[in-house]
Amino acid sequence: MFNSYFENPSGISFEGQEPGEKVILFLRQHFVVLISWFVVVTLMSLVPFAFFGLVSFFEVDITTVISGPYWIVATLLWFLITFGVLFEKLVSWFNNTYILTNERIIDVDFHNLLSKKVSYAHLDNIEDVSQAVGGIARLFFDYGHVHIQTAAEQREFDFHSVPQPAKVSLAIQKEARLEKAEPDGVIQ
Amino acid sequence: MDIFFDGGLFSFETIFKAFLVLGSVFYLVFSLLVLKQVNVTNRTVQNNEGGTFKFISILNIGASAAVLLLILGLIFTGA
Repeated sequence: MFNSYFENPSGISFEGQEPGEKVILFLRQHFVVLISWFVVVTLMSLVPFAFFGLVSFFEVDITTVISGPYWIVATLLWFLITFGVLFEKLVSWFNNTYILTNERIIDVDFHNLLSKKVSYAHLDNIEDVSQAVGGIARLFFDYGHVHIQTAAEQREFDFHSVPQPAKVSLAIQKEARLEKAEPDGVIQ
Repeated sequence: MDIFFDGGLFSFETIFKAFLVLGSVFYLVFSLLVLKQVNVTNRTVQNNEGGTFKFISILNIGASAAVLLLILGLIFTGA
């Protein structure tokens, strides 16, 4: 479930897929990009323990201000919100996908809960592909950006923080070469 | 400070309860939006794991509705 690199995946299809169009690479951002959110959520989940710990340490009777059951539901609500933050980040990570098919590249972006953007570029419009890996975490976990320049309506595509960017870049170039060698209108 | 601690309209207790109700209502709306997004994604990209996220989203909505009802129940029973 938390994989972010699929080569020739089975069971994956997308809206607008043409007959004969085959998914070659299915990518998400590397799972490491979620670590900062795991830290945030861990800290958030410690807040009630810290609060009640301090209350107990200083021997403050908080039930004189608000009765006990309200503190319990407030804590429940806090944990629910904490879970919600984590879940929303997981959903966003899961939904932002990059697809390479034998015909085109597709970038599915959900910037937030209310906006979705799907960009396409045909492989014969691809002009240049480059990749960048920088920073200790990226080098260590082998993930980085793949930048694609096209002659399509959207001039630039960026596959952000994808695993094995060198391999992705080579696969895009290979498919683009194959596509350019095909006669127009043929799907192979 | 009496106005905040003596049980009036602007008492700390009233504000706390109002925050609980508002917070749980906003969370319920948020969880509905998450389900909406999961549904949109499942239509955009079909894979084997989409159902799991939908299931968790529905559980999340159930949990947020339960917390909202619990808060309203506490308020209306005068606990």
